[in-house]
Amino acid sequence: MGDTSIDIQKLTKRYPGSQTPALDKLTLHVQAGEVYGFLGANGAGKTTTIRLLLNFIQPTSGKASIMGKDVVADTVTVKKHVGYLSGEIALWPKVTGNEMFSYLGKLQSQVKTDYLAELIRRFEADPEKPIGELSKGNRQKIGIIQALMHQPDVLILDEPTSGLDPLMQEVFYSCVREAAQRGAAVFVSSHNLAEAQRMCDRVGIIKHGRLIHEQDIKDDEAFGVPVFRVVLKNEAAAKKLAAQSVTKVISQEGPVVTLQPKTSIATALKELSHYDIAGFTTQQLNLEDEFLEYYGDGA
Amino acid sequence: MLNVIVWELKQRRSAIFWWVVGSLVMTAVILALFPSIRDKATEMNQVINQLPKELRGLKTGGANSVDVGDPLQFLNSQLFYATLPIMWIILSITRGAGTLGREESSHTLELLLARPLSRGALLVAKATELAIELLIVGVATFGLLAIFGPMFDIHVPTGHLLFTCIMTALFSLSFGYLALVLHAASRLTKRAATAVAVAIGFGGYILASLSSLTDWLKYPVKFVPYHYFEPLNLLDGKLSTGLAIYLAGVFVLGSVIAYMGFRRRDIE
Repeated sequence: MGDTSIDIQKLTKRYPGSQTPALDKLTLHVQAGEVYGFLGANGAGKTTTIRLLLNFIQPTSGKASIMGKDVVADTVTVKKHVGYLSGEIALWPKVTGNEMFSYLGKLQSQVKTDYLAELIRRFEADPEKPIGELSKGNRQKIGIIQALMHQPDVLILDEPTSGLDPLMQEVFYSCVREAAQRGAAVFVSSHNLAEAQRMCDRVGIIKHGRLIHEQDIKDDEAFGVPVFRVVLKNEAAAKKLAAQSVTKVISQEGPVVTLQPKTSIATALKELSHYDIAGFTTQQLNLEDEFLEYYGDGA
Repeated sequence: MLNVIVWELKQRRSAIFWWVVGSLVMTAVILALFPSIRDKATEMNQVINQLPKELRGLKTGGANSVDVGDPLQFLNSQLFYATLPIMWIILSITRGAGTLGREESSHTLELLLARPLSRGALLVAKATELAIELLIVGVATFGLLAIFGPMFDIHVPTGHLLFTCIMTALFSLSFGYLALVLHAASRLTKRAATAVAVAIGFGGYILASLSSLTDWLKYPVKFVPYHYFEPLNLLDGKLSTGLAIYLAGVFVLGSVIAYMGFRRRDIE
C-alpha cells in the first residue's frame, strides 16, 4: 500500500433543523491499494460521509481530500480520479447501457474501451437494452460498470453488491481486488459483514456519526486467534472469570463467558483450568462479532 | 459541457419535434384564417370592440381596440401576443423546472456531479439546452411565417419577422429560466418553481391584458414582465427598453443567483 488517497479530518455534517450531527468529527485515512470497509447501521452516517466526499453536500466543518486535493475547493480535479456507485442506483431508464457508458465516458474524458468491454463480458451485462427494462440486479451491474470503467484511482462504493447474485458478487470482489492491486484506494460502505471481511483490508465502524472502531481485517491479533465460549457452573464463577486479566473478555452473559487469549492459547487454557467448566467450544472471531460488540444492546 | 447539451438535445428530440409541430400547426391555422377575417374585418372589429372591457384586452393584445384587417395588428393580437408565447411559456417552464429538478429528484444528478464537471458548467449546459429548444421552435415558426405568410397576404419584412419570433421565444424562455434559477438556487421543488414561474408568466399576461382598462392596475402592472412585451413594436423592428431591461435582468441576474446558489447547496 502506498500514499494516502482519501484523507478525512474532523469532518462534520449537521443538517439544517437537526439537533445532532449526522457526522461528527470523522477522521480516517485510506491508503492507495487499500480496500476500506465502512460499516454501520442505517442512519449511522455512511452515506453522509460518501456524499461529503463527492461534494454533493457541504461539510459543516472539517475537511477531506482525495489524491491530495480538497473535495470542496478542487472538486472537479478530485472527480477525475474517482469512480462512484450510489447506494440507491439511479440511472436514466430510457437509454441503453452503451449510450450511458458513452455519455459518462465523454464526461470523464478517460474512455478505456477495452476495459469497458471486459467489464461488460465479466458481469454478463446487457448494454443494448434500455436500462428501465432491466432487472434490479442487471441495473446494478450497469451501475458498477460505470463506476469501474475508467479505472479510477479512488473507488467510492455505497452498498455495491445490493441485488447481485452470488456469482456476480464474486466477479465484483475480483474487480475490486484488481483495482486495489493496480493501486486504487477503495472506500466501500456495506451492511454485509461477511462481504466486508472477505473484501476489505481494513474496516471502520461508524455509529451515530462517530467512528467508534477501526480494525485491520488481516490482523492476526484479532482474527487469527480463536475465541473460547466457556460455560461455567454458575454466574458467580462466570463473573470471576470475566474479571481476570489473563484473557481478553469479549462478553459475559449469565454463566457464559466469551473470551480470547491475550498472549498464548496455552496461557489462556492454564487460566481456565482453575475453573469448574461445564461446557467449552472454540471458534474464530469474525467481523460480525466485532460489529455486534460495538452495536450490541447498550453499546 | 457540450457533451451535456448534445445529450440533452438527443434525449429531447422527440419532444422538441412535437412542440415544433404544435407551434407550426397553430401558426398555420391562424395564418389561414387571415384572408377570411380580413374580408370581414369591419364586423370583427366591431364585435371585438363591443366586448366587455375586461375581455377586450385579452383579444386585442392589451390594446383598447384592434384592426384585425391589418396584417401586423392581426399577427400581434392573434399570434404573437398570446397564442405563441403561452404555448412556448408552457414548454419553457416545464423544461426549466424539470431540467435540473427531475435529475435531482431521480438522483441521476449524482451520476453527472460524480464526473469532472463543475456545477456551474452543468447549469450553463442545462440553460443553454433550454434556450436551444425555444430557439428551435421560434426559428421553425419564423420559417413557416416567412414562407407561407405572403400566400395569405401577410407581408412583413423577413428581418422583422425573425426578430419577432426570436424575441418571443426569448421572452417565453425567460419564465422557464426563472423556474430553473429558482430550483437551482433555492432547492425549491420542481412543482414550487413551476408554480412561481406560472404565476409570474400567466398571471402577468392577465394583468397586462387588463391594465389599460382599469386605473388601479396602472402602477402594479409595471412590475409584470408581460407589460413590456409588445409584439406590434417587434414586428416593426423595434425593441422596447423595458423588454430589453427585463430580459437582460432575468438572464444576467438570474445566472448570477443560480450560480451562487447552486455551487454550494446540498443536493437532495
